[in-house]
Amino acid sequence: MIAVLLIVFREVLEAGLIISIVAAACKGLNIRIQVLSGIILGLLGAVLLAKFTSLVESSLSGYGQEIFTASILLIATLMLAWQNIWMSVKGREIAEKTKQEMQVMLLDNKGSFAIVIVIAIAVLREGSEVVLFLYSLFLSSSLTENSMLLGGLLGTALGVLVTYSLYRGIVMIPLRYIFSSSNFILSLIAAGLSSQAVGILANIGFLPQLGSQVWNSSFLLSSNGWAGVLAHSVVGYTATPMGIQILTWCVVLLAISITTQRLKQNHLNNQETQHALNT
Amino acid sequence: MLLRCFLLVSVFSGVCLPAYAERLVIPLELTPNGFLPKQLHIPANTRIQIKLSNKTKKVAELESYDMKFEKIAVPNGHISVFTGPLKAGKYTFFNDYASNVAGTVIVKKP
Repeated sequence: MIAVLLIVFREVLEAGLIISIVAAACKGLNIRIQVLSGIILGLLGAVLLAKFTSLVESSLSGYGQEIFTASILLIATLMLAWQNIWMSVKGREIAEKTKQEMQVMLLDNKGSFAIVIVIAIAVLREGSEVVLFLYSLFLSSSLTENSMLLGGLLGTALGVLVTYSLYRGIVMIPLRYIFSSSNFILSLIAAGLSSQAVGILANIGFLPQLGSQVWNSSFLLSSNGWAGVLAHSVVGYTATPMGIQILTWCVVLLAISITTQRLKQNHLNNQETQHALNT
Repeated sequence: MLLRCFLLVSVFSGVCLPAYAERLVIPLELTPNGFLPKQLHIPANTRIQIKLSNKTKKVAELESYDMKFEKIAVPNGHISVFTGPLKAGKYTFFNDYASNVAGTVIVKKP
């Protein structure tokens, strides 16, 4: 039972980490509805995906699951990039407005649909695994299996609890620190997701690997341990990365940072010209 | 636009599918007592496909960190995972949904 609890707990926590970081990075914006609908959409998708998992596997000449996973990871990357760029402009505006204007702006949240998709994808990925796992335990119905099912449900509950306290913990950090660092954190997540996606595509031969194992850092942080698994789900860590994974990771991180910086710069320049015109 | 996407995809898959045909296919079974065989021998620098059939009554996840694959296998289902080309050495794979169900891949020097 403990083993089952741990397996399910880990899956829930992996999805939960992404959700709490994204939610905390958007702290100050009114995104409760987006987060909730993301979770619900993700859960529905997870059940559907679990049901059709054999079908997905056998499709596209045996590469179905790989292509599916890589696509949703790439979509999540795009959404995070969009979210990030949108936030950097929004965050700047928030800093400039008076308290009253800010209240109005926080209620208006066009553009934050990206959060829904990122969260839905995080839930979908780990959720379909949990759903399948629990379902197969549920089907085998002897007494020992029942205690395993209980373990699975407890693991889910525990995962949700830890995720929520983690979120509360991150949210304690003051707003202005969050705004200044959230761009960077969200870009890291996006880079991690994209490098996982190209890793999958390179493994099935759809992309060149550019070196199957550029370095081996398992003596520093092993992919097998808890820390390694968490680092994998947040920043895409792997102890033995392929060349194309490192390349993609750096390119995505750079591309997002440069675009955000540009936009901020433009925003400042516009204001200066306006200011000059007014005087 | 749609037509162009379709053309792109078909050209893309045309280029990529030959890689699929060249893979060395290695059969593997998951039984209630663990993987069968427990140890796989694979030549170095070859693209491989491990074909797993899950003969247990539970969902399993065939996963490996060093060979970078992770895939769910439903009861009585078949899955294929892809990896390689691998350097000589010892690699491990395991069932992520059970404790202590693991196997090794030995890659010999060419």
